[in-house]
Amino acid sequence: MDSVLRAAAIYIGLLIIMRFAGKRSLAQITTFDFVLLLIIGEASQQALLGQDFSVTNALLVVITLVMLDIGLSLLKRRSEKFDKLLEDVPLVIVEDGVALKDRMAKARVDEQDVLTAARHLQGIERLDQIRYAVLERSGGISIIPKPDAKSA
Amino acid sequence: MRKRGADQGARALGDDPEFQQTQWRVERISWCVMVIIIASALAGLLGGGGPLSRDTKTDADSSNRIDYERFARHDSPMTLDVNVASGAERQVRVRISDEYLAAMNVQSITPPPTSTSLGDKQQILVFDRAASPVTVTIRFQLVPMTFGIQRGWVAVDDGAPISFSHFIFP
Repeated sequence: MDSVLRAAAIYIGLLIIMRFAGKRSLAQITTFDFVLLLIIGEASQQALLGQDFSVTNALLVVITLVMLDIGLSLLKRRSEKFDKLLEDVPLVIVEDGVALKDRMAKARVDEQDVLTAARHLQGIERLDQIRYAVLERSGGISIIPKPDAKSA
Repeated sequence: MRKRGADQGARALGDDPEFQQTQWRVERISWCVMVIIIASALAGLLGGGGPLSRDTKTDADSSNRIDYERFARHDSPMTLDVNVASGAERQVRVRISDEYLAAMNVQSITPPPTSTSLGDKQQILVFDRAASPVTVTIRFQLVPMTFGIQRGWVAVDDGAPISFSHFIFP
């Protein structure tokens, strides 16, 4: 019983914390994001396993986490509201080459982040070549270029 | 209607609808199995606490009782409580199977025994009772070092042994 409850508590706890932290927090944009991810893993490990070093405990914890994940994914498919609640919504941050400053500030994204993504994904060098830049639910930025952007 | 993804082009990409269908079916069945595993763990059938995980046994005249884990786990702490009924003696002697203790790593005994001695296939622990007409509980913190079925017995004073067994998960 303990293993299942521990795993469920950590899963739900982390889910809530990460959701409140915002989508940009662990998108692995910087080295520190990566370090943070490792530290979170280390910190929750002890609470997940407790004093119990048995194979049964390890497997139970994993099964519980996997099933919670599958269960939530099934619920998300059923209800759009629940999906938004858990996974956030995409956010347009550049429209027709114009940066939407207030949105970017709230989402803690700056122009440099957008341009980095633009260079990476589309080989675009200037903001005005971008039709849409979208901050995705996963925290990544996707770029839709203007039709003439690449030839220009 | 033609099945999508089943044409020659999709096949060339490695798409295999029959295999995929079987895989999906197996996936759904395995989810059910995992839900059953979680439910039995919550009930306490896989050790680590839960409503069905503990049991009690009393001796013939049902004055002494032991409270133990029916299901335990290898290398994971568990408790064995020996409830000794009130008696005239100021000292309580608890005898435990030698073989049982050999399979366990004894982390602590609360309260600690005043003396221990070795008997024939048993260890004898002696505890002092402050006032004779009280029931006392002696708690053993144990870590199983084996797995599978582990039998043991505990006897109080000269009473008959109370036998019990754990199923220890790996």
